[in-house]
Amino acid sequence: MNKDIVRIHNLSFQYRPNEPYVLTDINLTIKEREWITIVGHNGSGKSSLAKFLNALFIPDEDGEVYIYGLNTKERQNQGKVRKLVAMVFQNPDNQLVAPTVEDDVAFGLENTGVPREEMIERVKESIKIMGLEGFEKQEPHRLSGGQKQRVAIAGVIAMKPKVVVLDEATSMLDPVGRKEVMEYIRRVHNDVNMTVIMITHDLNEALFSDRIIVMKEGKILKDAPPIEVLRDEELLKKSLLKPTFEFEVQSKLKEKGINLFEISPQITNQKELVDALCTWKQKM
Amino acid sequence: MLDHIIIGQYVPGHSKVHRLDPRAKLICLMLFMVFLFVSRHPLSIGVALLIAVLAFGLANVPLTFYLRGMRFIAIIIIFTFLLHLFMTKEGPVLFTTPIVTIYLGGVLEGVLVGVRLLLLVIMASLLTLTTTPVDLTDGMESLMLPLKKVGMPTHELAFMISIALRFIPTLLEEAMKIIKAQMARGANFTQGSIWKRVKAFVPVLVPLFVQSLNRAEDLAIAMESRGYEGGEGRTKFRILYWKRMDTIALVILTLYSMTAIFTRFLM
Ligand SMILES: Nc1ncnc2c1ncn2[C@@H]1O[C@H](COP(=O)(O)OP(=O)(O)O)[C@@H](O)[C@H]1O
Ligand SMILES: [Mg+2]
Repeated sequence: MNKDIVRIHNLSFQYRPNEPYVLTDINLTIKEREWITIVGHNGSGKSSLAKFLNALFIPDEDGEVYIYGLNTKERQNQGKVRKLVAMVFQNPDNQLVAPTVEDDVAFGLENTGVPREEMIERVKESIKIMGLEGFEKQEPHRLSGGQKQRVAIAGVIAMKPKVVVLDEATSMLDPVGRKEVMEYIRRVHNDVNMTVIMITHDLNEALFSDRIIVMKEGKILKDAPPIEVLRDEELLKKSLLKPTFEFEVQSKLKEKGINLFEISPQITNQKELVDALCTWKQKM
Repeated sequence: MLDHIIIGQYVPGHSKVHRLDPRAKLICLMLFMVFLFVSRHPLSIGVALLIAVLAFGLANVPLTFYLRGMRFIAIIIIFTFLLHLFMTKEGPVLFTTPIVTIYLGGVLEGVLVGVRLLLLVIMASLLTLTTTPVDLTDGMESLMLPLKKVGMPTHELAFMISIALRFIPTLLEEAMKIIKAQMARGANFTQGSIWKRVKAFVPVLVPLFVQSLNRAEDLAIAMESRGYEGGEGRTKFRILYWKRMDTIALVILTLYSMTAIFTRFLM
């Protein structure tokens, strides 16, 4: 069995005393190489939770966060944890620091004192993985949103972390940019063997994941494989999430007495939906 | 319109001057500026002219780039020329009018000051025209390094400049967006008294400022999560290479400095 890479135990959190809890009693385990999607409407506590994963936030007395067995409460672990868990944020303009693409990819490596020869190798490698060859000398403001996020991801994987946390990394992009970035995240997961924790409120982006974690008001409502979550209309309504197109069609048809689920229990994309509809038509 | 500001002064190229180490260019420019004002003798002014012509020729940057924004400088040069022309009362009288008398000394002094200013502007533009802002910052950081010993935060200073340079285009883009949004709501930036126009910019600056603060916070979090902890224990991706051309440039400027000193103080 794969190793536990993230273990969160009874984590509760409020930004200031006397304010409502932003996270309440979170328990969560994530294994190496998993792809986890965290969904929830605005203000449900996703970003706050994410900041605990790389020791930007530290739990107070009760709760505990272990990354690769390292307790983030201990000061000497915090630097190591930041190296193990890398973060990509929402706004592509607010996370690129350096004047050119290659400088930005190198930024994290410079910070951690990686020798220059190794740095050059790793920058080149990450740029290649993220398909940014030819853009090395480009200035960030000349890139599209999707390209900027790819640069941010390249900067993160150059550090060779174990986990990449993407906090709504696609939510400010246009549909083309989203698709492009998703494609590269999948590559990071499959080819570079990283654990991916993706935060989003678009359920379409959750389809590839091993598990979906649904959050509402600082609590985990459900932690289950995509199909189970997507089919749970009650849950989606309760957590104010928009079902994917395919599932919306299925539930509307069900209201009319057509149960596609009996024909095909796994409809996640349009092709499968069309196939199921054709099969149903033939059976008529 | 924005593109012009965004690129700034730099004109991409691969000339000998472009490829000089920014440190060499900065030191050379400094030497040139200092000793240009020491130069009075025709010989050393001549050498300065020669250096400027050489640099200008090698840089291969079209003349129009120098002329951009030259109008203001030209006014200053003409003004100082006239000032010296009328105020200097040395040497033989060239001609007299009821209002002023022009002396030969005045003409010479005016030309000298004019040429000095012109050379200065050309060489300074040459630096910004042939060096990317990034290289300039790197060069400055590296030259300031000795000051670190006396407690000057050289890395932080250079890093500040480089972040500022990185975000100028982003902020300009944002400003344009806000201006358009305000125009759509009926704001008018091009008509009315100066006071009215200035006032119209307040609703642009306030959101721009607020957004910049948010941006700063985001950026700080992103930097921290990427392990930034100041200059201590940091390695560098960019390094500067000192080449033979740089030594040659430095030697030429040293020779010029010596000429200037010699002709001014020893002849
Ligand atoms: N810096 C902060 N100070 C105080 N409250 C905050 C801060 N950041 C977020 N919150 C509050 O915490 C709650 C959860 O926010 P967040 O974790 O950002 O949710 P999400 O990422 O799911 O939108 C929200 O109610 C938000 O108002
Ligand atoms: Mg958030």
